[in-house]
Amino acid sequence: MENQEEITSLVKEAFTGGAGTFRPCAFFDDRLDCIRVITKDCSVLEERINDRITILLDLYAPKERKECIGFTLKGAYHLCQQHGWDKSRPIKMSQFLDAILASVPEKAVKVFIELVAKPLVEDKQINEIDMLDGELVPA
Amino acid sequence: MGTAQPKALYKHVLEAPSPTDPNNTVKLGLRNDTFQKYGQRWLTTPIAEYYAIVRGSIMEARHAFRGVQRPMASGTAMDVDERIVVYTWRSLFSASWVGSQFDGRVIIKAAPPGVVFVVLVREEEANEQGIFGSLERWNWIDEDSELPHAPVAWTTRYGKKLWSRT
Repeated sequence: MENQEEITSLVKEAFTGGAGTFRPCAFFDDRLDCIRVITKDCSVLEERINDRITILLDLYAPKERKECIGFTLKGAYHLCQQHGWDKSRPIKMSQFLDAILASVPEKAVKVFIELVAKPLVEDKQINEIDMLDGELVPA
Repeated sequence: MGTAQPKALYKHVLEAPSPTDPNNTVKLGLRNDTFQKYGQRWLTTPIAEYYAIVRGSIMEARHAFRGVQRPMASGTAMDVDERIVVYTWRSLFSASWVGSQFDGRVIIKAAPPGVVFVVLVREEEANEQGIFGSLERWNWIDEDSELPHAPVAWTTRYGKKLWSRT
């Protein structure tokens, strides 16, 4: 492994596009067919709920106080195909969440969507996803 | 660490254990657009982890799995999950970024106990660069209680185990 100084230089090179800071975001990962909602830039511990939803936790948060910093909705493109949604238009996050709940009506999924996912995206104003370029559409 | 010269589609190319035989190696690429996806959003941690953990330690992976057991579509193909190869190991450290883009720096710190590092690779069609697959995602998962260096519930999480080594 390179030393910390070398890695610091390599990471800085990745941010040569101008000034900026991290903001909560959501984007479509077309290579793994999922939507990623990320509200904190940190090492991520993934906790799988089922084959459609994974919760993202801060790796260094105390185990007894898990901090949800986002989630992954898997099979997003797959879901669009199934429902015949027009991928050229932004799709509402609530539409995705409701469709997943309808397809997997498990209690754990309902609890996660109603008590974690919806409040998180509402709080961070992450309302829609553009499936074509994966960019967050501002609220 | 087995890095090679970057190819056009890829920012970096590195060597990793072959999915069919951990004693052999294959080439994996980090796509430019994967890196840009993080850079555009100022997600510093995945980039720091790439340089500190993925690039530096993937040759030390202890397990390889195939298939992620979930719906995954791409174009007209609806079963892309079978193309995913997963490498896992117990990394002793993590990496993150502190400070601003100008005066910030990477810090390496001890990983918490009971977690493993996981790298997802998407197998590519045969290509003239000889790249087996693309590095798509890396993160941490709780460690399985019976199989060291493997993620919890790996038997239901992945399609099949390709190999393990001590």
